[in-house]
Amino acid sequence: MNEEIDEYDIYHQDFTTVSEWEVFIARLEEILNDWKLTKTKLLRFSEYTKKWISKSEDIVFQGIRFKISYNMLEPIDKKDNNDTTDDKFIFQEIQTGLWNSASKFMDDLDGSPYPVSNWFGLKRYLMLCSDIPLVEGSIIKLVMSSINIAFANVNCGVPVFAKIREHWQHNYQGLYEDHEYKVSFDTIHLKRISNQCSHLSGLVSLFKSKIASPVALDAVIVSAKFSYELKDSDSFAWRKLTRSNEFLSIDGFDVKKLIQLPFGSEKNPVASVLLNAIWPKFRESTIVDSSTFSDIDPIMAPIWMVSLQLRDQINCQLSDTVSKVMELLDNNFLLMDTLGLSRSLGLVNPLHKITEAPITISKLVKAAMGQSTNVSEFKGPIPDDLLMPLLYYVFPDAVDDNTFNYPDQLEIEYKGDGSDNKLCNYVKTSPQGGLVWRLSVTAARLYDAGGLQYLAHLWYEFTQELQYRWEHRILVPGVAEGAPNARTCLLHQKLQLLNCCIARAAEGSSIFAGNSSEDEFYDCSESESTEEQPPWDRPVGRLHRLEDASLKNGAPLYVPRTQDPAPKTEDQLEEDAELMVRLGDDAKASELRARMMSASLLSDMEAFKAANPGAELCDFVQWYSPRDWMPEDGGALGARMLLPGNPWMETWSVARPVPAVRQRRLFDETREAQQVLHFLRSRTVSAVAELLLPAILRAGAAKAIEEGASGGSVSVGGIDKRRTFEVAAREIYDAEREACRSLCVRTVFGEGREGEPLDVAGRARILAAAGGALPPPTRREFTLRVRDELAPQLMRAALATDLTIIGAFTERTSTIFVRSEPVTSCDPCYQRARIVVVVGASEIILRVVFMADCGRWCDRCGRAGQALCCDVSVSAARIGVGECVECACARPRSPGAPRNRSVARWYARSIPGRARFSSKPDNK
Amino acid sequence: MATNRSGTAQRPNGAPQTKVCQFKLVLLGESAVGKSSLVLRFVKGQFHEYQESTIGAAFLTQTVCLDDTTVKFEIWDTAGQERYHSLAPMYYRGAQAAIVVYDITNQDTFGRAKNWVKELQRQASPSIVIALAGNKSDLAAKRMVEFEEAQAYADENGLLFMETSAKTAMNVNDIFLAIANKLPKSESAGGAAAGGRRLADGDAPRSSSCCK
Repeated sequence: MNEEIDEYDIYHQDFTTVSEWEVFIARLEEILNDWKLTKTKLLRFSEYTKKWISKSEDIVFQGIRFKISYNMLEPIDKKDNNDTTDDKFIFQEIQTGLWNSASKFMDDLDGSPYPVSNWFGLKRYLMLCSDIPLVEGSIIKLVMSSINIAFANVNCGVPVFAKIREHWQHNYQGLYEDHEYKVSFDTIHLKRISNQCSHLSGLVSLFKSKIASPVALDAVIVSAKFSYELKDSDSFAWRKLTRSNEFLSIDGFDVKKLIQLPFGSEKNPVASVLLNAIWPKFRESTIVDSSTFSDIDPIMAPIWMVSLQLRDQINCQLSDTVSKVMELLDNNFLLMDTLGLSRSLGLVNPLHKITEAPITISKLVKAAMGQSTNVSEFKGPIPDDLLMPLLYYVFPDAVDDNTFNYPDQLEIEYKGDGSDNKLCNYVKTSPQGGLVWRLSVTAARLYDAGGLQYLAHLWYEFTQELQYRWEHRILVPGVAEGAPNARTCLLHQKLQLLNCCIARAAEGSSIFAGNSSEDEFYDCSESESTEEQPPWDRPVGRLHRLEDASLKNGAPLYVPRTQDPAPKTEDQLEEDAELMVRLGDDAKASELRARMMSASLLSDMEAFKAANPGAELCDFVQWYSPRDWMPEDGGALGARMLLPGNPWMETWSVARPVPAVRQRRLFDETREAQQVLHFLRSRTVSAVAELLLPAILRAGAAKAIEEGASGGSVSVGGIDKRRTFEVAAREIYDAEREACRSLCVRTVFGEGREGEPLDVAGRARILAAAGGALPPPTRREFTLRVRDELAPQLMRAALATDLTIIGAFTERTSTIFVRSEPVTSCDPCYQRARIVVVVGASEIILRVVFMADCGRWCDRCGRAGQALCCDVSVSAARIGVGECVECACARPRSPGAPRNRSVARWYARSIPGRARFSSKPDNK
Repeated sequence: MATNRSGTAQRPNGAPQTKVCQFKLVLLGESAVGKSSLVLRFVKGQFHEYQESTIGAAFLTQTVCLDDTTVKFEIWDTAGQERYHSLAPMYYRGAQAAIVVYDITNQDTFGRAKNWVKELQRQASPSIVIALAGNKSDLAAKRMVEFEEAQAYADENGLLFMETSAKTAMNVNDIFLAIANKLPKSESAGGAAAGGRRLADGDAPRSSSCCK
């Protein structure tokens, strides 16, 4: 008041030299303030989700990296929530949480990063965790003091914990306090169970001694859980599944068995069954459990809960089969090499292409058609009596037997067909149960059973059959009709293309019987052809009249028959596009591209000229590109069609009147068919696997769904094939594992559900499986609760091979004056000041009391002329504030007194050596 | 095709440059609405009063620089004639972006544009970025399609929309830039856009765990 304080001196000058400890506390306070954790600033929530949200900050102190984190249950936020909490609300919430924590057990997981929330029923907490364990007593004390001070200075509304000792010990020490109560959270971890703590009555007396209540306590309420591990899990009924390769025993060979993809685990996937016998609530006196006698009987426990532990590695037969094929993706040898047939088939490994002569179609045809001696004498590893039924299964039209005929309607299931969430639906499909499907499943099963040799043999027979069908114009069965459908898998597209070729070739040969497929022309029965022989300029190849349009010369305009665009598979389309991209984007490339593109334009123009003798370009444009035709100008060409040298005019000028039927075909079925056959034969192992995998994965997914697996949630696409396969295989694996698990759950739980108490039948089943009696418990847990006049007091103990005891004890923060002495100091401020020893419930405080005429003012009420006091806590090294005795007594230890400039000033001047402050003053 | 190569280009002095993303963009729309003119304006800054009619499809590339990314467009400029319709899937399959063009002086071309949008929504990659361009805005005197009508339609269908003029260059660069901005630029996102959906789980599945 009367002295001038150099504020600069206090707040700005000395910050770099404050002790590290003060910086640490200041940093803690700063973080807590940033997170707005002051009691008066916390938002009040009443409902929470089950999700934990966290934020954290790093602090370094004494070379140790600390992480302070704030963890809270995600509140269900009501929009206009501006209610803030107060002492009462927070304490109420903590009390309720403590009391209800007994409804969960210590080993339950609540999803929060540390177990304290589950142990103590907390909805929010702060945790200070160091990167190296805090083992030494002095550092633990220092850290605990720091959080104590920071907690008090910020008036924090969230319990704060520090993780101490070895990290695996899960030892947490924490506190919460307001001006009335203080809750201490403690953990004790012992590697061995002490005698006193090994039974309930010992724990109860420990609990009571900790409370040390002056008045008689109510009866302690106990909750208990005893855990039993039932190892002999084989006694739990387990459905034996057929061994996947059973079909291979020849005498029992059955195609039906082969085409069933195996599913599920071959062995019992249950590693152990954990039984928890639970007593939710009883009074301490009702059950006796002491060192000499115990009447705790798990058979009598009101609740039995069971949880299943599955083996880490369940062998899932379906995933096994799939992943074996997946492994082939790394094998870049020609599949036919496996059989030693590559050379005789004229195949060259693409890797060796550079050194060997290029493959020509003729060479291929010779190799395939001529059936060079090697090939015809070839005898594969699969015995005939196994092979033939398989081939008849894939090509059922080759036998009279109707057992395995393909359905008449092959349905291609699309992604978007309302079945959006189906397993693996992002893998390109093929008609379910169609040829690709059958072939792929057969291949996977054969490969699983007989290795690469078997797969290669099957593939070889498959391509030979296709070759035969092409030569004899027999359509491939089990393939969707029409041009290659880009939504189906590549193998299916290839077969569709082959069928297009076969159909086209059959059409041609039926008209020109005996003509070779090399024939450049074909005809089709047109109405005109029945009339008299056409003269040269007679119109041919008319499809229909274009409404009432007419040519410039007045004749009606006819739309010609045109050639359909050549059917192409997706890899061919990609190749085309790539070729065009490779040409670049300069003028020359554009011209070249336009010429490539104009093949079909030329074909259409020639067909048009044939159908409309005497037609001009403007007539063609009227049909083909009506927006370039100007009816109001008497049917003239639009300006851009008149540009000199434009490709439309140029193409028109070279187009001859040739009907589509006599044109050079845009689609050469012989070439295309040979290419398909060569494509299939010359694949590497990995490429064959790539062709087969889509159907294998889809069939696997279908199998999993049939077995009760639910749809996956993964959606994927556009990334490379291999990754798509990997994702799908993973999904199938997860689905299969889950199906195994739910099967086990069904056998163990019967009608009941996992996570719910067992019914009587379930208990009987478990007891029987355990051989009539339970083994000794692997873990015991007790929760002891009592409400004394203050609040709930809680102690929990978990006894396994080690012992963990945790406690939350609440006490009143009352103070008792013990003695007071005058301060001996020459500083005039201290004249007539007294030092008072105050013993609180949990700590000892040295309080300097200044007399009323000391000339200071109370920090709390602002009055001057009052006796003032200033606290220094001995046990927690906590510093109080200067306030009048009246205020100080109203709040005996006023932990959250606001620190403002006047306090700082007061301190700066009143206590020598305490002049420095570690944090910037509150601006309040 | 349908690749998205993200990489780090090297400047002559060896210092690494920004990320380069490559996207496939396709132009669709009725014939003679100005698709080729838009591309020519965007790529070469030129305009011909009469632009010859495209046969099949033309291909051009152009690079634009955003803040931290260089976006290279592979542009497929398709022919608008009905006869070429069946070829269109080959171009829009695997495209990350499409500009559907109509002519503001012709209502029919707008109807055709709507059909293209419908087809793209049904057949193209679900993550494709579609922009609607009302071209020939310099001929506003002969306008037949109201701006508001097209804007409402674009909003309804989540399309980018601008009226453009290849002749005056109005909004031409802007529409390509707007597309570039809307395209996912991160390596993984761009990759996913290459042909379809995104991968929900980011982790590479450990295929090895399936074989035990």
